[in-house]
Amino acid sequence: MSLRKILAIGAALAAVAGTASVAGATTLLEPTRSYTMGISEVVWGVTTQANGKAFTLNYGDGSAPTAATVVDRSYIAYNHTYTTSGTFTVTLTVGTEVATTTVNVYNAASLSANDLRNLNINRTIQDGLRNLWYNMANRSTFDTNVSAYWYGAYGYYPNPFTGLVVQAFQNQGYQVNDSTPNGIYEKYAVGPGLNYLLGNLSPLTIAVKSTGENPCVGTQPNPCNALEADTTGDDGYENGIAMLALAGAGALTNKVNLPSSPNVNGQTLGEILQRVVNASIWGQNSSGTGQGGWYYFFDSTSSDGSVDGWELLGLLDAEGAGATVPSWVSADWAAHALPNAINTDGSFDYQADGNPASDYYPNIAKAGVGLSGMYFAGYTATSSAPIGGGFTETQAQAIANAESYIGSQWTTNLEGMQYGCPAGFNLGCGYGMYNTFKGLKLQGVQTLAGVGRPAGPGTIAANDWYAAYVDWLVANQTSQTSTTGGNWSGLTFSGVWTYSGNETTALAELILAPTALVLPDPGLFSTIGLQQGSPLSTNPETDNVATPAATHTVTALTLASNNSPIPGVTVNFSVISGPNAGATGSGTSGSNGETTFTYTDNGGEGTDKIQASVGTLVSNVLVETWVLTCDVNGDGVVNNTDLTLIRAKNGQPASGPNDPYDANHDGVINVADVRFCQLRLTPTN
Amino acid sequence: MKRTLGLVAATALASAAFVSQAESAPLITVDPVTQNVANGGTATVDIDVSGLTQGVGGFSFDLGFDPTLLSGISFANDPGVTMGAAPLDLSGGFSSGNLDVFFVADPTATEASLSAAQGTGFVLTQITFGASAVNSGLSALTLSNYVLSESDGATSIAGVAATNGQICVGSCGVNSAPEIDPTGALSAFTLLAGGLAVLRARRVK
Repeated sequence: MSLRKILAIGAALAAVAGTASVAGATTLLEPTRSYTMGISEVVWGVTTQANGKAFTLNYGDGSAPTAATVVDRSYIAYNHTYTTSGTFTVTLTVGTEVATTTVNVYNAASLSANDLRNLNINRTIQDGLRNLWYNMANRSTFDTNVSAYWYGAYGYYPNPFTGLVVQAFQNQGYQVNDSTPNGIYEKYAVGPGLNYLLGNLSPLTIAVKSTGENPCVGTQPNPCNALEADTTGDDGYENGIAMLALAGAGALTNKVNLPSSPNVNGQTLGEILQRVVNASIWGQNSSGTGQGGWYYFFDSTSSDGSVDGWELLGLLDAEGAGATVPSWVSADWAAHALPNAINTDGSFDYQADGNPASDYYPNIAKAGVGLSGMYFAGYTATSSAPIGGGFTETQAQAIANAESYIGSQWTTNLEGMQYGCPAGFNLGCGYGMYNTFKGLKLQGVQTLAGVGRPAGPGTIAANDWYAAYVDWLVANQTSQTSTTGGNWSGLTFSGVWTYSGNETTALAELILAPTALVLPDPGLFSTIGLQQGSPLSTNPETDNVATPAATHTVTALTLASNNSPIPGVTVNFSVISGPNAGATGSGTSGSNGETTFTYTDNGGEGTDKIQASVGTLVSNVLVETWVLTCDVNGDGVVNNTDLTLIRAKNGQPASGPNDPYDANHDGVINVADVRFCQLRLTPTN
Repeated sequence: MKRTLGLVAATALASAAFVSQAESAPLITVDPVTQNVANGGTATVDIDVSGLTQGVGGFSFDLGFDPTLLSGISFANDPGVTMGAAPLDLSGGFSSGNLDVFFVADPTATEASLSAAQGTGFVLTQITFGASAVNSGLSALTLSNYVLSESDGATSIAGVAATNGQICVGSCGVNSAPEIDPTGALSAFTLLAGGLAVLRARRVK
């Protein structure tokens, strides 16, 4: 384990265990973010000192600071317009305390279309998170809260919606373990938010199911004490959402210190997550058409597409984070509820009816659940195996049909008005977009016919469905530059919860996040997250400059702390220095947690340094050296002089693996090396 | 004398026939395997390759001969122009008792164009020797250091074998079959086939 990893875990322990009391005063500013020059945008911070204290907020650009007394210590927010571009240090001074943060200000007029798009994505994400902070129910006492929570619209459902909000912060990179948790979000939103969810977990005694399967996974005896997030009949979806937040913590070795919550006090987050998983797999339906699926209350005979969706995502997240989900869970799902809900037209039943020709309140949200479910069941896009349940449709057909169905409904919204979002089930419907995002990401889909989005900017392909979602969210954020804005008033939750609030802001942030499930372990990603060669390693590599230009491939590994692969992660790659500096690419990790990036050596000789990133997480740096192997006289070009020099050593064994005369590295210098280099002559003008 | 040369020829022919039937491994041969030349005359031999399954992007070899009997007059690499119009010839040429050949294809030649032009075999080099005006005897033509490059130079073509030849200048005494190289299973089989051919020749006699 690396030092960084050890330090990160230590820091995380302090965060989860120490949120109940914050010793001493603390003044903090917003995280590092980007702004647009010439637009009045919100700059903000907090202080644990009392209201009424004098403060100055210096924007770092030479303009006059804001000087006043603190009115709301949990949200010291002011609009400011930067009139020049650059990187500035913002300083908030309250009494003797000084907090700083770095902001990057860009002149939109001088940016490429792609850079401008990325700037606006960053602004949208940051202002959305700021809005969630602003709407924290007990924000005014943020520094003394053991727990933090968020209500949904009209003050409803704080437990599941807090779960979504907490994972929104986590998946945007504000985890309790990704750095010393001194940031506002990590320290005062995520940690206490987790405490809130932990405090609402109730014990549930479970035992071997009627189907003979044992849900007591881990060190629990049988019967065992599981944990459930709700006891009022909504166990199904609330347990799924609880798993999302707990798995997203990325801190499963942290021990919880919540004396007021004896059900979890003293256990690690990993143990607790496993117990919640145990409840959900115990609650998996054990009979009926919906066997293998989930319903609002545990162990029903019907499966409900919504509850299936939350449970599937919760289990996938938990598994991605390192919890154990027994194989019988996906097997039971794959044998009954999943095929019973799949329709031959690509739709997915609201409730599995066992009739592939009959749609039961289908829409693209459910089709997205179906795609996630097919991923959970292990279907692949190339499998000719039947979907199960006695149906003849192949797994590959089912996946293709679902993707085709989503594409066909992208803008026309032909179905789904029953229990539909006011805007239909796609753009403007948080639940629809969220599940479609999850399903398509997990299936590795990049483009969909029917999306209708033109290509660009940059390398974005035509009909890139994810780019279309991001565009919509960036364009439809409400009052982004207002201290009270940053939400999405035009984004409603679902057909049965047709409102907009923190729950929809959280869904928007989760869609904008760089992962469909959970983030990779920061320590592993920063040390072994990028590899190359065969077998893969972090070792430097050397390749020959070639004509036509050669290519080099690197592979990002997105892994949980226990090395389990995390699929659905959006990975960006960049050659950060060297002859090919500026080469970029992106991809989504597959079921093995791997994402590859291949670039062409257009820069000739030199040493490239390559790095991958997942949101704010960055990988180790790989070294790739491009050499003119055949330039044996070192004059910078490969020409006939070099060929003659190689020929002069004909028949000699190579002096070693890097003997420049043995250009093809076969251990001997001969006519093949001359031929090899003849094909790599430096072009002459 | 005639009988001896006849046996030598039969052995070489039988060896070549066996090789062509047994395996498509590339084989470099001297063609003709043996010939007579009068004192002061000239002799021409081809160095052939057969059994190709891929294009040859370059070749090199040494051909040893008896400098008291033969002198090199000229040589032409790839006389059939199978390796493109602008090849690279880095041959060292004749020195005392040796011809050093080193030849690389036209850089624009590809695997497809090379294999199409070369088929399963072609003439690597055509060599003209001058025979001694005064000395007589049998000069072996011994191939060594032979290498065929793959079309892209990634490595040399594996499994290449060679059959040597000989030239009789003036009058020659009793001699044996040309040496077969390399040693190993292929050569053993080749020798065995040659021996069988000798036995058959004796029975016919």
